[in-house]
Amino acid sequence: MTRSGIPDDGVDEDLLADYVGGALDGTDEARVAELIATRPDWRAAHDRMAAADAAVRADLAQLGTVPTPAPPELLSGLAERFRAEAPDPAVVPLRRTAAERAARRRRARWLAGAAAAVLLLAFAGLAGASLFGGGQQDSAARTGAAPDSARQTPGPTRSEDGAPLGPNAAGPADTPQRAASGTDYTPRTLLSARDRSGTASLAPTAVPAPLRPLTDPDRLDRCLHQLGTPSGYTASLVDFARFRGRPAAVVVASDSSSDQISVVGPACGTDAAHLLYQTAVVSVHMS
Amino acid sequence: MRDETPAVPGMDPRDDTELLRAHVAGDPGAFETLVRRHSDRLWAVALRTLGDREEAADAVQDALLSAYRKADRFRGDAAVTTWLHRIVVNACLDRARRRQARPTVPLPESGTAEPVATGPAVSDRDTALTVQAALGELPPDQRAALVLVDVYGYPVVEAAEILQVAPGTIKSRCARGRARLVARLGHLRNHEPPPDVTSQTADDRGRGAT
Repeated sequence: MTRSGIPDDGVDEDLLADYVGGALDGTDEARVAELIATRPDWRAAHDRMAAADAAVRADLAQLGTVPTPAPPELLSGLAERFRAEAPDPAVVPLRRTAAERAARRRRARWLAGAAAAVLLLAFAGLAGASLFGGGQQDSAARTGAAPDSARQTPGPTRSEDGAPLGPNAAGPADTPQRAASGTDYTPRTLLSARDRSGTASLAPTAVPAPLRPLTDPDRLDRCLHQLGTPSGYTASLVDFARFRGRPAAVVVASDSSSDQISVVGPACGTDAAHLLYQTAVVSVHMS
Repeated sequence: MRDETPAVPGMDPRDDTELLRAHVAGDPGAFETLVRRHSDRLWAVALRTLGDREEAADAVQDALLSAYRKADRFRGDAAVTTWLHRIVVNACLDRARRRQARPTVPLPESGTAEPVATGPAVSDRDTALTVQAALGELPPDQRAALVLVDVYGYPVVEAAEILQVAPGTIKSRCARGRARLVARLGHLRNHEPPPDVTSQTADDRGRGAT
């Protein structure tokens, strides 16, 4: 062998292939070029390989022209697996596109207008009844008072800029329970987090190690601030568990008719919430 | 890097990155849309790398399910398609390496077992079968590089991103793979029976090839 590893006799086919394929540079490339120029065996092998190289490229390229559509059964099987992994159909994704949010706002405005119209008609109807039937003042007064009552209903609030307030801001009574269920959640099983019961004090060993800093009340409070909750929701439970195999905290926030379930990473409460997944569960009453 | 946003009327207007983000945020149909958009190419690469429809289907299914689950780990340092290809090709390579000790005869496109044609009157389809069979005898790393670069025309740089090696390594794997295929495919032009290249492919060590 020579100093650079090139054999003194015979042709190094791999090295020659690298040369033909443009995979060499610098000293090796110059050395192989010299061998081809000075050694008949190298020159013959090079000429043979260079010609065959082009032919093999053509064969391979031709293979690429054969149509190979993905089998429909593969795609349907995948779609089925994805659906099995996905959250329950009752779970509505919370994150929406700007267009979807605008559409929801338009619907909300329309519904608010319709509700106001219904209240107005009801009030007019009751007022009319009192005019023509008499003795209905109490009912009319109750109906008319309803909007004020609604405005005064106490509940979780938002700051002036719309930022949600964390559990501490809402008072000690709203501090979420904490749990370490050991569950490895998936989007499909996330709903079960609503059924967990927590405790005020956690055994540190029960919490996955990467999540232990998040059990600190101040850090958790920061995390919940960063996470945010829709107006009217209160964080009720934090389960220090796993999501898709990775340590994650599952935060359940509820209002009177729905729950928001958020999954955050161990870094929540540092620079951001590190939201991994979020869904809302809407209760639908059929009557 | 490939086009992330095929602007085809009637298709979901979101680009690949938007679809992946939507999936992570809980959009239940976003990942399926993304997969359907690239399924033909991913399937083709898997089929040519493994040479077996059943194994390719299993590899693609496992890989895309894994991608579905770990989509939140995508950091955007490569195109979404590159990331998807990487996961699929790695799944194929794992399978190919596992079965290296027990090589199987690749199945033809139709799924029915047919002998590999030799001789002067080979049709295009027979040529494809012969080339596929010869590819199957290469070391998996060389095979994957050749499938990406020579069969499907991916730029060397993109193949390097998919396989997470240096571009020079892709060039070397392709060059050495082609050199080995010469012996196997020479009969397509020379009308000579193909020699056994197994002994040549057994030793894949060498300068520059990793």
